[in-house]
Amino acid sequence: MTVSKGIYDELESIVGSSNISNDEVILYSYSEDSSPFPAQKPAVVVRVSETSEVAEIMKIANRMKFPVVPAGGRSSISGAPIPRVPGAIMLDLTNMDKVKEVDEDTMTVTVQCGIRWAQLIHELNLKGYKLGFRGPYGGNAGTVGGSLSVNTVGCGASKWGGACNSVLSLELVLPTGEVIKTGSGWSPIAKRFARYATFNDLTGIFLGDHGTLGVKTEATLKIYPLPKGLAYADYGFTSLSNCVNAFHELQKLGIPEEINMLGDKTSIGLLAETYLESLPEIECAFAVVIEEIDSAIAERKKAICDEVAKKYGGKALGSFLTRALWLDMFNMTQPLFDSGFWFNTCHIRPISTLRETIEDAQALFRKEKVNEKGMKWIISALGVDRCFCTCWITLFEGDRSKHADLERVWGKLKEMELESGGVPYWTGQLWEPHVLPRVNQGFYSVLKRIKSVVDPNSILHPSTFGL
Amino acid sequence: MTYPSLREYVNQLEKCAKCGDCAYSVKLTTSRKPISLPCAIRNVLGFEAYDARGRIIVMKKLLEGEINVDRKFLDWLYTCTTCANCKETCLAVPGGLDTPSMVEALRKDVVNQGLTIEKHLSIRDATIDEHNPYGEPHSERRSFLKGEEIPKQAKTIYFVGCTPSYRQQSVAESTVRLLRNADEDFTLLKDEWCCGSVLLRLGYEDLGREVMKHNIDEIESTGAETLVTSCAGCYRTFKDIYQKMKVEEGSNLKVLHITELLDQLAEKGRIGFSAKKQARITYHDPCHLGRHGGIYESPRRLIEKVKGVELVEMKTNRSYAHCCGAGGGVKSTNPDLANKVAKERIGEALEAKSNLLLTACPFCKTNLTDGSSGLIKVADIVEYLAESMSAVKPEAETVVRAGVGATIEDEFPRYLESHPEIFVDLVMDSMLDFATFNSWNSFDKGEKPLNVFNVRRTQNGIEIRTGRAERADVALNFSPDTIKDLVASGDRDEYAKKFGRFYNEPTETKWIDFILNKSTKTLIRMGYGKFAREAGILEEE
Repeated sequence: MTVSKGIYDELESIVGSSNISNDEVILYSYSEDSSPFPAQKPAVVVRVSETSEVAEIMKIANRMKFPVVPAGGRSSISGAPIPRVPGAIMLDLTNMDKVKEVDEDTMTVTVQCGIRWAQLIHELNLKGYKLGFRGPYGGNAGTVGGSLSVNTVGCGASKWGGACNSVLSLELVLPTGEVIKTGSGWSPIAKRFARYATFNDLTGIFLGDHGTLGVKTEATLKIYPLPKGLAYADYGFTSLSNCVNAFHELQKLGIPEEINMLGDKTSIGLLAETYLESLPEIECAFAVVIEEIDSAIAERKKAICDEVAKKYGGKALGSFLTRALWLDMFNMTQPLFDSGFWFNTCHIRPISTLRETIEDAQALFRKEKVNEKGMKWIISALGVDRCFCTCWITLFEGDRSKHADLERVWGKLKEMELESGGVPYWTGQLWEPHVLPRVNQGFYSVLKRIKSVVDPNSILHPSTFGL
Repeated sequence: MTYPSLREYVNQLEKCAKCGDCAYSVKLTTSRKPISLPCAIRNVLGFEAYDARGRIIVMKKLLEGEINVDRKFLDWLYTCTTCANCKETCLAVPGGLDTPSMVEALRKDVVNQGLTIEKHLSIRDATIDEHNPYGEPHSERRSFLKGEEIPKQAKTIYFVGCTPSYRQQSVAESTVRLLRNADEDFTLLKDEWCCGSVLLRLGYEDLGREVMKHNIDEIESTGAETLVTSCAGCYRTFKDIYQKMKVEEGSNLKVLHITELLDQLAEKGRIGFSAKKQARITYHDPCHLGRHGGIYESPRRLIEKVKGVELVEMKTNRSYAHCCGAGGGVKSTNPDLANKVAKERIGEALEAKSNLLLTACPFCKTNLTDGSSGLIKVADIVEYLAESMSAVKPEAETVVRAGVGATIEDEFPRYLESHPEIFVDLVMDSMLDFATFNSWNSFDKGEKPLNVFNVRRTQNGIEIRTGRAERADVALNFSPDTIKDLVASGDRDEYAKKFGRFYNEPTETKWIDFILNKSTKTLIRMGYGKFAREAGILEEE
């Protein structure tokens, strides 16, 4: 399918000639995200700045039955925001990056969904506020809309939950071009201060939809005062079991803003090599960030962390790693690229299952001799919400000639993780082949019916979720 | 078509994980680094293809045979200023993925296969025929001297460059005045040609090298020890290419930018400055001088030496400063684009509430002036310094200049100078910045410190200088009360323990914070780990 000159001209009349292109180099540059998955190059790229532009474009696309793929910073590592079908209109939302309102009355910020997390953090910081969930680890490029579309989990999730937990209201453009506001935003005169109000939680239908039900144009998120009490602590453990138990206990207590674990020596070697040199007995470690409104509270909570870690035989390692990572937020993962392209298996699971999953992965790596095949890995976990964790086991392709081996191990790992009770938070091309055969048919049937009602011509990000 | 030069970068192309930092990152708060949407061209043109990630994706598709080179492709290829802000921001490999070199390699490949933009042919021909890209008569090259005599032999060569010779003659005139005022023994090349930078940037590498060969012969005939340039582009070309060529041939010619030389002369008391009127000045880092040449602090030290001047920084500065938009052939190929990029940079200067924008590159000056719409005065630093020369020359400064004052932050460098053992584990040329802030909030907000000096590890111990280091490994930040306690330490052991305590258990009045400019792995390998362990920063007792 190609975009005819007539349609191109219509689109151009909405956004202006400098914001639309069908040049080959431009189309190709939008054909990938930060994942290894293949995609179709779009037929046209349109840069939008206002909700009204998105609405007009959707009306045209719906009329002509053109596929539309909304995209933010495309730092996704799941292959979510790239076209699966040829001939798509790609909506580049990164120009929709304005803070619309900071409401100090209800402690909310309303933003255009193309804003990058790092930019939003900066703008809030200038006004004395912080977010709860801060963004994915790729939050320099990752946008609010992108994260809300794929249920991102990342910085600050230990206390505040993932990206979607922060949302009070969304403004959406539906595939038919209608614009709606969710939560208390149903009322034309009310502020967007509450998610659960008056009717069903429509916000939730659109969160995690991978851009299949509506284009997220604005989001209202919760904000908090900047902390006055800060504490950081690294702890090393000689056994995985003790490390996970201490991690679990701290997450149950709800103390950490962020608690991040490195699950084995290889992983520590990739991110914190120095600990292996000075403390060779340490098998795994975790880093705790505490942020409170008062320094005495932060100090007391740090003391509790010390006590819990000590109970499980943890050694206090200072605070260098935690501070280096937290105060250089969103720059933790990039140096890992030097180990080769990454093949992640990011998912969430109960903390009680973490040890066994890590041990199973290590056994798989030994059996498959991944070390000998030039691959590296990192095993890490982040406390999330009440009371589970991410399990991040990522393979790095050190030797491209062993790609087939890597694909095989990667596939086995994903299967193993699902079989042991894990569930992906984002899906994308990364997880679809593994989750679609397993999904409860009743659940999936409802999902399909919702899609057919909201997007009758199936134009928004077709083929995602198999829809 | 084949792309042999680009193919040399296949490993780097594969290392890109497409994180998008090169285009999108704003690290002002999240890393306390002056990074904001690094790609100046992408910021104006909007589409992904114009930033480093997009360029890498496109170049990979080109090598895979999915894209063909046509006129539109060439237009795209010459929209990159090769400013290297993407490289500086990239953390994927140490030093960052070198997209500017990939772009230049591809330009070389297309030129070598006979594809070029018409306008570049006239630039090429002018550089060959008249030895300058503007096509001005070669015989007019020294016209800025207005008949003044210059010695034929001297220790220092002033390599004027094409833009100061033909387009920004006041830069050349000012440079000569400054050198004379400082009694510097200098000469010009008898027959100076274009340095070759323009040819290299456009992809005409072979012709560029021919031009360079002429200049090398000319330089050798003078017997000079130092070559100084007032053009950042010439500086980079000499530093990058000529010096490498000469090193192979065993020459000891030292290449300096005029700001480095003037900084040294001012430090020796051979030249001094006083503003004619109060000014709030901001400084634009030319890409050739900064990111490509590693010179950020000499110009700033010079500006701060002008009495009556306040130096203020733009949102993006030093190694993350936005490009002015002129480089990499963009000004000649696409002047409208260059102007639009300059307007963005002018916006940053206005946002900093400055009333004078200085730079240290006549080409940046031209472009920033074009983009300024008269909203702010733009000048080259040598022009401003020449008009601010003081009749009274200052006294020479001591190495530990900061150590002569009465405040506690002035005591710090003196203390460190007497305790070089604190730095003994560091590899040679390790560099640290030490800055004092009134409060942690002041530091956190990126306000100006009370005092800054830097420490460099040398063969003989350490060297301390005022101001920031050109490329500090670590920027250490302290409160005055912290320093008061630290300088009371009897030895390294006590100093390290206090240092660790102030870092691990900061209070409102006593705290230490730092910004790492290299990865922790790299820093540990450079020897920083031993002190950090002794301080309890890497592990606690």
